[in-house]
Amino acid sequence: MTERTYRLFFGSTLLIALYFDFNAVVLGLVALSLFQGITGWRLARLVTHLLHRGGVLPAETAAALASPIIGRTALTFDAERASSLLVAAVITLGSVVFTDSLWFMPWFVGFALFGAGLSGVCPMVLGFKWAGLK
Amino acid sequence: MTDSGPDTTVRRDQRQTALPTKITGIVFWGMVLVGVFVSFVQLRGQEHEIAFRYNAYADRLAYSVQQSLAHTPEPSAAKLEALALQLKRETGVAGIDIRVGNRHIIVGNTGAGLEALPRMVRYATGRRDSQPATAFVAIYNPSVAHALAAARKHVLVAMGAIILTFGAILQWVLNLILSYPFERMVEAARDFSTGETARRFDEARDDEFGFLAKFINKALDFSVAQQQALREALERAQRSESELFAEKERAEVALHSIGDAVITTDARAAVEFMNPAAEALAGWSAADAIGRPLAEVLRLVDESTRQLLENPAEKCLRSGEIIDRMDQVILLCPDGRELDIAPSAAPIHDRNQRLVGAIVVFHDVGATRRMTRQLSYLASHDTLTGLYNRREFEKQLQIALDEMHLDNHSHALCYLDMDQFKVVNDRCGHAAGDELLKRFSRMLLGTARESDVIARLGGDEFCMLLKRCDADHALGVAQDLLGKTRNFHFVWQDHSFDVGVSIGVVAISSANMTIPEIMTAADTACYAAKQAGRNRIHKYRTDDNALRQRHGEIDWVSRLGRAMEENRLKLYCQSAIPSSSNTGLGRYYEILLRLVDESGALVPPVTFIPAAERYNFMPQIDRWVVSALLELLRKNDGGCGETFAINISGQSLNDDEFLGFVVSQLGASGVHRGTVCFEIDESAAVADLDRTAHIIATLHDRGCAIAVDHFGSAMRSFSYLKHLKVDYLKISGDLVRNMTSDALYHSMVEATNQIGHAAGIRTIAESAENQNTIAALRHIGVDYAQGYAISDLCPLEDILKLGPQETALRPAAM
Repeated sequence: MTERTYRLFFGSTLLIALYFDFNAVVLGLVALSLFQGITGWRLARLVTHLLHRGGVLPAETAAALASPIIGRTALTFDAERASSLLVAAVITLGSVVFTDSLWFMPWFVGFALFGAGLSGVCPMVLGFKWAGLK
Repeated sequence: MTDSGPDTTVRRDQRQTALPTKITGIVFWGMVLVGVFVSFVQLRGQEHEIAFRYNAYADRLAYSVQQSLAHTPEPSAAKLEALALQLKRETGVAGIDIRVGNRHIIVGNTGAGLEALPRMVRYATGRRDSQPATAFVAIYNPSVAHALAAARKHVLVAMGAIILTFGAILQWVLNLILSYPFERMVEAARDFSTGETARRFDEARDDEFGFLAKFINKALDFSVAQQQALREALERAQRSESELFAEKERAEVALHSIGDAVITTDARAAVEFMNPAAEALAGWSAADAIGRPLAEVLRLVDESTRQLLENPAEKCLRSGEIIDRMDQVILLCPDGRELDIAPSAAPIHDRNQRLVGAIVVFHDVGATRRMTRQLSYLASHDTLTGLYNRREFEKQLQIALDEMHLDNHSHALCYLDMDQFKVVNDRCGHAAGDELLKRFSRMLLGTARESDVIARLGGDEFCMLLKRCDADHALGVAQDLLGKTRNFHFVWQDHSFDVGVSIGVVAISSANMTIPEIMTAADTACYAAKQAGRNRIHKYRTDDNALRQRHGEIDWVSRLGRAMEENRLKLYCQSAIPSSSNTGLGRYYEILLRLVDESGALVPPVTFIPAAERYNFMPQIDRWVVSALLELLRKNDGGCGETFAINISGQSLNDDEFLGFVVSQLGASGVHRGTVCFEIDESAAVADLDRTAHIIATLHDRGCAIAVDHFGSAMRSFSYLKHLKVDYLKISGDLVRNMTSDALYHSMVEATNQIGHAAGIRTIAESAENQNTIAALRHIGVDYAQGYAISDLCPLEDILKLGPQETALRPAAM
């Protein structure tokens, strides 16, 4: 599973959950993002690993899976991780904390991730990379 | 990289996003932001609107109920229900709850999750005294928040759908205007990269792709042209490399195969290359020698002085010119060997004519030098005696003459001719003759000073150059030599010989004398000594008669050669007539030679024969006579019944090739057997009986007759007649000429005739020059008589053409 696919999946799931008011799903997605952002373990890579069970992993995937979680410096902080954390924060803010004033933020994140999944371009990640993250 | 070359394929990374998609994605993000903002703006007053609408619905319900109750204070439940339904339909609320009195109407959904919006309705009951009644109506709708949320969803989903649609359209358009032409360009690039160099990008487009395609096409054209040029250059380079490799191989094989040693050096004369021949000669392996200075590898010294010589490579590098073969060079090898070599060197230039090294070539010339020295020795020395030969002697004489220019000293030359040497040779053979020459040479060496030059000129002739010696001293030396020679006895097997020497002495007092003049003078003086009786000394004088005679003889040799070339030699004959007409003997003609000189006068042989004998020209004359006679006989078909006799000299008899010449000439001529006779002088015949017998036997086989000429002129034993199967004896003219005046000569002629007849040999009397002699010869019974009293000389051609002359014998005289 590529990051692009993951984003597509995440965005579409979030939009569906928001539309049908599946708050649990929304919270689950938040938890997923938080998990990814904190641990650096990405669902996309884990799925890839499971699908390639016993096979040869792409070097980047294998290196990422083998990389330590703790001890990374800011310059080695993954942009994807930062993106995951930001996604979790924004969704939390919009759907839990400031539901009236920031109700649109989860929708925005959902559309953004859906669009990023379709296009393969995630300006948020690009922005983080431009800021110096890995 | 593939087997056919570098991998030019480019695979698209599946993780990479297409440009239109990226553009769309970026636009989508922007549009999402815009969409959310628009939605936010649009939804900002939605809450109030919903609340207002709900209140409005509630008020309307209340009003409607009030109006309905105003007309019908006691409405029925059905009526109320119908009213509720109508309002529900008109307003779209989820549920309506109406309580009037004890009637309670609920229409729609009033369950959980819905928010009620009640209204109290006062209405008059219609009774005059009743108070207005109150009804309670309520509408049920989802909460404002819920409705607001639903409205937001609808707006956002709609916005999302619009954005997605727009994005899809945008993507499609971008694909059309970006991806498709780009893919076309990719295809063109892929085709080009796989070898279709004729493929070009589409320049027909009027957008940036077309513009880019033009430049790319130009770049491709240039690239293709460059590639072609590079390919051609590569082919040329590969061809050159192959040719160079082949040349290098040929050169290396040649260098390894040739016998000459080849060493190449760099510009500093350090060894770069040695071929196997160089390794073997120099005594260095290439691995050890490479990098070392050549002077260390090749240590060269001069053969004579043993001084170290400059290396030819260094000389060549210094001068930049070819160093020709150096002679007299010895190579000192590390293992102690010394080799004679002849090195040469040539410079090596690079393409810019810069001197980059030198090549040295040499080989072992030891054998050649030894052979050269040996040849030089052989060329300057007589192999038998070890003395100088004529050539070297003349060279030394020239040096002496040149020295006379400087120091004005005089020299003397003694010309020595051994007497009786031929007797020793003839009697005891060549081995004895050679031994005699060696001993005589040793005696000469013992007599000479160290500065004197002694040479053997040839045969039994020697020459001594007495340097810094006047005529008197030279005479003294000659006397000393003469004395020693007189005391010299040569013993060989059972024979003992007293050998003499005739010496001619010439004083060399002027540097202006030439070598031919000196040698001629010495030879003349020696000849004079011989003529004076041999075994004596004669000093050269310019007014010497012998000189004149000698000069004349030398002149005749060249005149004879010219006469032969110009066909001025003529054959004459004198016939010998049978003494009796009824003897049945055929005619006998002696062939005599005459020379027509330059003025046309006839020259008798006595004038030129001595010169021819002296200078060994007789074999040529005899050959000419044989050829000319046989040619005349062949042309004139003559000779049947007649005998033509040719005089053969002793020199021709001793010529190993003369017999073969005669045999071949006889075979080619086809003359009749018995036509040709060869007259051999008695002295020459007995000089080598075996040789003479072989010659006689060979000529007899060819049908030729043999006559012994001047028979009886010397007092010899005639026993040799048993060995020599001759056909005629020509009684010496000395005997015949005096037979009528001297009884002794008469007896000798008679005895000779009898001896001949006893041996079965016909006799011919020479020099019958008067009638009395002819009569005496007839009386004795000689078979033939020859002389001017019988017949004169006449040209042979006339005899052959006209037939025998009747004047050959005057019948009255015989």
